[in-house]
Amino acid sequence: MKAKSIKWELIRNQLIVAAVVLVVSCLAFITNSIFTFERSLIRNANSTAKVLSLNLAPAISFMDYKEAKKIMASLKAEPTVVGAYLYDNNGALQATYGEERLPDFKLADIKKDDVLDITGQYVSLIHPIVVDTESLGVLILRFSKGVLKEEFTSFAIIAVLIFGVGILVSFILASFTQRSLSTPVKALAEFVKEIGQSKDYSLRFQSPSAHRRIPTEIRSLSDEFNQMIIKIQEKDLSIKSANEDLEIKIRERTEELQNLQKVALANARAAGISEIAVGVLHNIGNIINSIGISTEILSDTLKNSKLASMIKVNELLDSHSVDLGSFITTDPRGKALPDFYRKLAMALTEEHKKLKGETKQIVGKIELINSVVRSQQSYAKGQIFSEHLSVRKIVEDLLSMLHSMLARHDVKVIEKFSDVPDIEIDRVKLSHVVVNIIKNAKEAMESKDPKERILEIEIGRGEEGIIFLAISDNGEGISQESLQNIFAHGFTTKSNGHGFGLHFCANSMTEMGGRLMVESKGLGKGAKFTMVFDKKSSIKKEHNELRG
Amino acid sequence: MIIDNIRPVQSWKSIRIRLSTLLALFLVLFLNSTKGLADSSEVLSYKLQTAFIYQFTKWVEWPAMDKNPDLPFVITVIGNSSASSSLIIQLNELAQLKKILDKKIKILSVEAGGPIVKSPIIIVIGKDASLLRRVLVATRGTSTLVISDSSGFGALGAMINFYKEEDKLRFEINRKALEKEKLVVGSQLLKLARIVE
Repeated sequence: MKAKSIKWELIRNQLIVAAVVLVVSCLAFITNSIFTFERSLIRNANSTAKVLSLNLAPAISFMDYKEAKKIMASLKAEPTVVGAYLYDNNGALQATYGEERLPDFKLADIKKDDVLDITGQYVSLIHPIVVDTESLGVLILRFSKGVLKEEFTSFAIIAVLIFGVGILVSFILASFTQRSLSTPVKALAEFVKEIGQSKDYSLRFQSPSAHRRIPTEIRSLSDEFNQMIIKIQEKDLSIKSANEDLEIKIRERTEELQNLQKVALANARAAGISEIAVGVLHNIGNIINSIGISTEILSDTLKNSKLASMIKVNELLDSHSVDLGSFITTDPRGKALPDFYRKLAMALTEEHKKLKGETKQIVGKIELINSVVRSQQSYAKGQIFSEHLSVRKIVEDLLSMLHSMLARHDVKVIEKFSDVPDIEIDRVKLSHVVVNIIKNAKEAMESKDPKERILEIEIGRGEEGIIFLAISDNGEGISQESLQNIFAHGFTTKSNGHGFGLHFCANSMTEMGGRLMVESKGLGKGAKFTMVFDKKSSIKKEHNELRG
Repeated sequence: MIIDNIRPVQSWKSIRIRLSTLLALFLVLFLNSTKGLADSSEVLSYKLQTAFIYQFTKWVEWPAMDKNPDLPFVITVIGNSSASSSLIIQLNELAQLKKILDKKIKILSVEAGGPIVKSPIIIVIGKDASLLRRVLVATRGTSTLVISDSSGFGALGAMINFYKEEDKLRFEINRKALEKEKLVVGSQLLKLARIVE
């Protein structure tokens, strides 16, 4: 709805009030006039009937109906009377006036009193003609209702004129009187607008001097508004002052925060370095464990080497260097020497092979340590080394390295390797992830019967061709609560764990564009860790292969 | 006519006798019938006169009327007994049914030569002007309303005199006579009457 000015609102309100008052007054006037007219009509009818009856009484008494008709003709002076009818006591119509004619009626039906009938087309008055309590006949007078209508019309016209004039006068008066309200209010509104636009709170509102008859409320409103502006001005000044203080404080606080940020950054860097160091140590620790195992194997192999037996045999041969020929041919011990050497050669060959293998592994693990260190150095520098590698090859190498460890713990490894394309991957990171998970699986199965320890490793392609590597065990499993926090930093269920391994694995997978998922049906029901690799790298690689 | 052809021719004498007989018979019957008509018309006229006389009492004021309701309102009828009898019958019927000025009505019949009794109304019947004069002289100053029904009696001094006009009963009023007797008559009544003096 369109907003209207206070001027028109005031004029409209005053006009509404005036209209209501005028309508009520006009209705009252019309109603009163009609009632008055009706009463007047009835009174007039009664008095006319009485006078006429008095005049007609002698005529009807002496049956001079010609004279009666003459008397009734005097009703011409009464324009409202449209008919008059004189009945004698026998009910016979003896004289009439006007053109209308009433049917004959029985006098018994008419009471002594006057009867007024206004229900029909006419106002009819039945007036008995009585002289000295003796009824002589009946006079019926008919009055036209048209007069009533005419009167009503004239009253209505007068009422409409009064209404129109009243509204016009009200409008003119309202146009003048509203100024005492609208002018100061408009001035106040404009002043408020000016204040709002200029924000100059030093201004003060002055009531228009042209209107001295300003209502008390508006004067009070002006004063209160000025008071309010003063308060706003004070508050504005205080706010400005506070703003300035605040700016200074913010500046100071910003500087403090910047300093704190520097400190925090340094702390974070230190913490990052610490975390990296923990990761490096953890991974290197894993490898060193493996190296330690290989070293133990080497040591055991050397300790149990058949080389000592060969030395003893050589010493025996040296003692028989004079009769070496007879000793070999005659002495039972000499005779057994060829067979002994043959077996020794075989044992030494086996030992050599074993030592070579373990040495190779130690070399590989040392190389892995170097790679870890390089990797962490590159990580610290924000670099990631990605190569197009076969996941399967990496897993097979790792299984080879971990073979002795798994074999010592009687872990049976089931390999389900599908042919998958090479992907872009950080070999070191993936190796750490796989080693961590296998090591955890091995530990989870320690409580199991050695015959039932099964480690299943599956490489394949899942939905939309995404390559995955799943490592599952039938170990102690993971509770539902632990599943939710298993990748959180510091979370561990091991008595000697520090909650870094799986956290590192998850982060590593994320850094490589993949992710690490875990599932377990509960405690005692094993666990399955699935590494999903970056889809883009898989597909990209695949496309490259197809093109090649 | 066929019958005339059959019947034998009658003598003029016998015809004259027969015609005379028929004429006589016709006259007897006619006179009887006109007498009956005249009688019924007379009764109707006296009925009207009675009604008019009764109505006059409503429009005439007697200045010295005794208001004692125990005393009757006397109407005296004077004149030829045969003529007045019909009116007296009607007046007696009125007396049985109505009152005048809250008084019972009493009808007195006086022969033309009889004494004139004082009463508010005296009705003079007949065309005897000397009787009227005698009544007027006898009632002078007694505020007696003298009513007559003969032509010219109004001019002779009867206060109200009936006459007929277009077969309707009318009356004439001698205003001077009324004034002399200090009888007051309503103007409405005067309007209906023919004023003779």
